[in-house]
Amino acid sequence: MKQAQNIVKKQKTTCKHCGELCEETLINHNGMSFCCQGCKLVYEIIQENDLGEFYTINEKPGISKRSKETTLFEYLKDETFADSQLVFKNEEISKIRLYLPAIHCSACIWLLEKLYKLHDGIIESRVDFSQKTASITFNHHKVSLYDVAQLLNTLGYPPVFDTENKGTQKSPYRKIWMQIGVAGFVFGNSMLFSLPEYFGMDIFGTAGVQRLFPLLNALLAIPVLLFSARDYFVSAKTALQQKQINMDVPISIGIITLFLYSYYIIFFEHGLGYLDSLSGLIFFLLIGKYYQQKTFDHLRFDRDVKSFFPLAVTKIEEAKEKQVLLKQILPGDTLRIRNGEIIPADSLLLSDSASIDYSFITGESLPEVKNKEDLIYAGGRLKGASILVQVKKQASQSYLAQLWDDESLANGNKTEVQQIADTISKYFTMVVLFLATASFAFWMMNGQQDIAWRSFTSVLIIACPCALALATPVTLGQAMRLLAKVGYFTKNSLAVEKLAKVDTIVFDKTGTLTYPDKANVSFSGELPSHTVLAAVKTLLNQSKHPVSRIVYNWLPSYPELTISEFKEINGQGLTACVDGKYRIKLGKRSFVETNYSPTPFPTNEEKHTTVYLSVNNEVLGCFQIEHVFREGATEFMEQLAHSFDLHLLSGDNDAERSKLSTWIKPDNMQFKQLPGRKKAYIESLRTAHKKAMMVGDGLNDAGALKSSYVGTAITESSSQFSPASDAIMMGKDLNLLPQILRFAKSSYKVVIIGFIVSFIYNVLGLSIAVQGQLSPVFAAILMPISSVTVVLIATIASRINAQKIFKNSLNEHNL
Amino acid sequence: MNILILLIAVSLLVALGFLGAFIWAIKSGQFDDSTTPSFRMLWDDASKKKHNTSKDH
Repeated sequence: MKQAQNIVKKQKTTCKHCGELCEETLINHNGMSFCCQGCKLVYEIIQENDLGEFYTINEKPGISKRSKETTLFEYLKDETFADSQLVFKNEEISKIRLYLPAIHCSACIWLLEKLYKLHDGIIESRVDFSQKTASITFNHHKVSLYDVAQLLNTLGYPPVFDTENKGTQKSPYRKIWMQIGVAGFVFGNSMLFSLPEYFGMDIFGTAGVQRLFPLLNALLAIPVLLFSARDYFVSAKTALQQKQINMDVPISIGIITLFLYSYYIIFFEHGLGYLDSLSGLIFFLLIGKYYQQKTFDHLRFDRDVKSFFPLAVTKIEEAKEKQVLLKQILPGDTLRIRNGEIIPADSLLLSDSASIDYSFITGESLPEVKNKEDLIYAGGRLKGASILVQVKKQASQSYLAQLWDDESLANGNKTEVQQIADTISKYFTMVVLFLATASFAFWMMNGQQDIAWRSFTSVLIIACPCALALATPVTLGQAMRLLAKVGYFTKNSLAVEKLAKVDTIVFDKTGTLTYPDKANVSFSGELPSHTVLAAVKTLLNQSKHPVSRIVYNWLPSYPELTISEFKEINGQGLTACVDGKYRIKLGKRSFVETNYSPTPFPTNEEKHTTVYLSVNNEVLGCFQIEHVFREGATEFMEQLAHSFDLHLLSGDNDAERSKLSTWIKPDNMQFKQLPGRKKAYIESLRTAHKKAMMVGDGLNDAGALKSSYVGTAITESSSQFSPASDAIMMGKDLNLLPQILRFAKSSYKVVIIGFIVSFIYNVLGLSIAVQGQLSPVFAAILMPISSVTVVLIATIASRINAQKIFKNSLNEHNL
Repeated sequence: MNILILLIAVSLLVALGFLGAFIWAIKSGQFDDSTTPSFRMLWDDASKKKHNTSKDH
């Protein structure tokens, strides 16, 4: 590989393409520096096609190509599968909507919408930034879907395919927008038509014409009732069928009474009715509902195992390799797994040995070595030479998939959590029905049938819990948005409500409390000279083992040396002859020391992962690797320890036990936990009536995240895989956790305040309603005012709380 | 008096027209993506003259 490049000493230089620090290697090319070959390649493609403007649109526009695992799109060559992904296809043109999680800035949009310049088969591409998708129209005679995927991958935007559903372009909010539109239209118009009556204006002089306005109102109210308010009736009906009462039940009663009573007044009593209040009420309710519904489209909270596994695998059929879709493999099939690929199903190893990295499932950072005829569980990532395996179980039947799809936990969670609004509405409905009947009975006994009916309907109308129903969605919706600004994304508003009730926090260690890719390295013994270290680094570069990578990154940059006789013995270590004169061995003590005893290097094998080094059969010392806690971990763990019951569940060894015990009770720390055990631990907390929040990152925490009261998945970037959970947060923001919990609790208080305010309005309204004195003007004023007050309280109080709690961090995040 | 009835009818029709326009806009997907166009409008499409394969511009 002869290219115009040279590797120079480490310095603080950022990559021209992705803007990241060039830590490992630095490639100089025409006076520009790049962090890796991938970035340089993308830069060249962009320049060649006259798209250099890309770098002026945004700072750091590119996506780092460094350490990207190769994504294979071989399965796209399968035409039936490729076609199944298309949105549209005719003789010439194909259209597809691709999910590109790497989209992150305005320059991404710019570049992706210029795809037609990079390949003339691509006709048009449109990016949807918030959904992180691109709709691409291409000529399938000139370019195949496979080529499009490869092109995007080269640019650093690997598309993510899904076997189940191709993305639909329609926004899920279309329906509620229309409902709001119709309700708003009717609200405005019928308010206008009602005004003359409210002010007692006799603008027409003729009684006949004056009847026109109420009749118009009656006409306009029909679409509001049938279209805009429809969802409330449906929801109320479902709740009643399940013998439950939710907030929509009293709302539906109120709406229907309001509608029927108004029709009665308009057609039989020649009055005005309350139809303007009806449409206003529904208008406000829908806005509150929309506010709550609108969530974070680009984050996927419900990804399951399937999205983590490859779509297609290499099957050996009659001594030939063939790409088949994962769901088509059957027990007994022989598969070839290549370096870095994921074992898709529980299978038997046919090759002699394999080293498999289960870090995603167990959290254990060191790969496991398997021998011929060992059973390999699905989910591990192969490290090293390719292997052959025989499938034992279908992918959907694997241990991992079963752990995930455990039905019992999906159901168990629902009954336990009931939104506070629904709990209140049960009593609320009963009280209202009681009041209505009581006042009806009272007036009947006094012989005033007329007032009896009026008071009965008035109570039902005025008690319609509009303000009550708005308090939760508006406050929690606002809270969701504010939390998102500090990097905490909740799946829905229920998650915020649950967050407020958390009393126990369970942490995962590796990747959650510690950095997933950073570690403290120290050398015990005397550090060898630079020439020797250069040779060591050359050797380490040959290995993909995570520990090798950590030590490799720790060493300074050196020019690459020649290497021969390289050998990697799984679970033992590395050996090679570098530069013709150094015979280097790296690895376990037993591997490095032939007949050397005892070592003079003080090590603490309990606490660290150690790698011994010998050069020309002389043991020089050992590298000690220690996981590093995230920045601020000490502070936030201390804060949390004050008010919460802390637990730790780690799949890794107990190297950091002593440090952790300052915050977590020793009894609450569990190490070397398998995913199933983690889940069981969470469930035992639940039976002990603890409301536990699980904070974890890997697939090994997936079961625990799902069964916990609130599951918070930690991720390094929003495009990365994160298991199903109630909330997602960035690893770098973990130190905000105490504030986030405090904010959730304060938001909950705001909801309660909203309830109290709306109760006051209700009592006021009811006291008039029971007397049968409710006039249309009064209803038209009281109902919107109560709604607006609640909305204002919710918005303002949430903002004040956020300002108070996230004082310092908000400035960073630009609130 | 009659003129008032006419005006009411007209005002209602105009309002209905706007409602119809709103519904049409939703159905044609104009509200689906509110983020991307805000970026898109800021770029000068200088190179558009040379290369224009995109149809709907």
